[in-house]
Amino acid sequence: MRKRRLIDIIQSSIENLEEEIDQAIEEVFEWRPMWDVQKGTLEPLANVSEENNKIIVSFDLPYVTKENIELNVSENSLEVEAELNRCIKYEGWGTVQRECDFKSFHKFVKLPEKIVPEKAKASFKDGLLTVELQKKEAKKRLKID
Amino acid sequence: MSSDELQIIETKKISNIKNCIIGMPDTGLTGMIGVTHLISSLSLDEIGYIDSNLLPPVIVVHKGIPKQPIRIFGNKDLAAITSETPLNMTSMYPLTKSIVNWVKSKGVELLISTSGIAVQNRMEIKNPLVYGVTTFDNNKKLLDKAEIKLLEEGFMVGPHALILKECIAKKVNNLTLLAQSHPQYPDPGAAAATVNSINKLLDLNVDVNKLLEQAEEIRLKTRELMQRTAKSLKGMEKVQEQELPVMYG
Repeated sequence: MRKRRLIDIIQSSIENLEEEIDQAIEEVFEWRPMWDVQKGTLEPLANVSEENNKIIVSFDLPYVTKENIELNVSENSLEVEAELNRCIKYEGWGTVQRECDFKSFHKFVKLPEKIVPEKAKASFKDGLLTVELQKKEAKKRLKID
Repeated sequence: MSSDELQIIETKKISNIKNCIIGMPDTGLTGMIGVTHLISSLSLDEIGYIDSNLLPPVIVVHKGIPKQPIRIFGNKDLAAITSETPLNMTSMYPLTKSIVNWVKSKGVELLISTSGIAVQNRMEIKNPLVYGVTTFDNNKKLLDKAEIKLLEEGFMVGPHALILKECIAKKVNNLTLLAQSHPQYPDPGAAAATVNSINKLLDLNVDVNKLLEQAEEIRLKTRELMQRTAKSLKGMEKVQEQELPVMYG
């Protein structure tokens, strides 16, 4: 009985350790900054969702007007470039001890499925860009016998 | 106030506090943005912080001064607690327990937790509604006075849910405010709705115009925090808030 408890404790410790290692690996390999000082771009928040035969991609684009958004769509990707209507400065920020200017948003989104670029629709309201994409392989309605 | 795992350090001792407001990073960062605006509008002084080896190894630097990410501001009339980093699952239980114990030790009459509740059609809503859940029935009159709708059915997931749970157990007077929010993006509009409700509840006069004027800046500067928060919420089964409650009859 006592032996078993010890085994449980060891197992639980190993599980915790594995979880921490997974988190650390994820942090190291998946994390990347949401800005690029060299290009002067910020990455906007974006969300991809699927709805029947559509893929909906939205972007939060504060300080942007509709006229300054450039959207490029292909069968399997969507790219947004949007000029900010004011320059964003971060002075004395982090280890970048100088003025840091950002002039636009940039985001490349790899789509979960192929889409029909010609059928893409986009709308922009209150700084939120929504792109509706038609999936290439539409679902077929199945008749029940 | 301390436990083995977590300590609330008071840098300025105040023996009794009348009301307390909490806003942690959660849906739309609504609670955090609203509480931060209250702290700055009311010029509340920093009175303490929370330290724990269960929290991520993070320190924030403001104007060259290192600070703990979870801090307490206030005076004898009002305390406000907020965090500049998302809470993880490991720290959330001891943290909420310690906060409620601290609130009780200060004789707080009303603890208001603020958060957002995700609505898919947020874009179509000009004035977000604020819903309320309370531990005491007699607060329902207060909800009516402040034009806060009672949340009749649903699920709550996150720090505010644990605070509510703890308040029920410890018989602490808690009112949880949930403003209709963007599910994935920082929502200063929802935060402003929460502040308006707090104004009515506590007879304050905090101007939300500045918050609304700064909405774009807030959305831009809280992107990383929103992304981290969304990631931490995933592990909490936050989507359950969007599920229909099980009802019979």
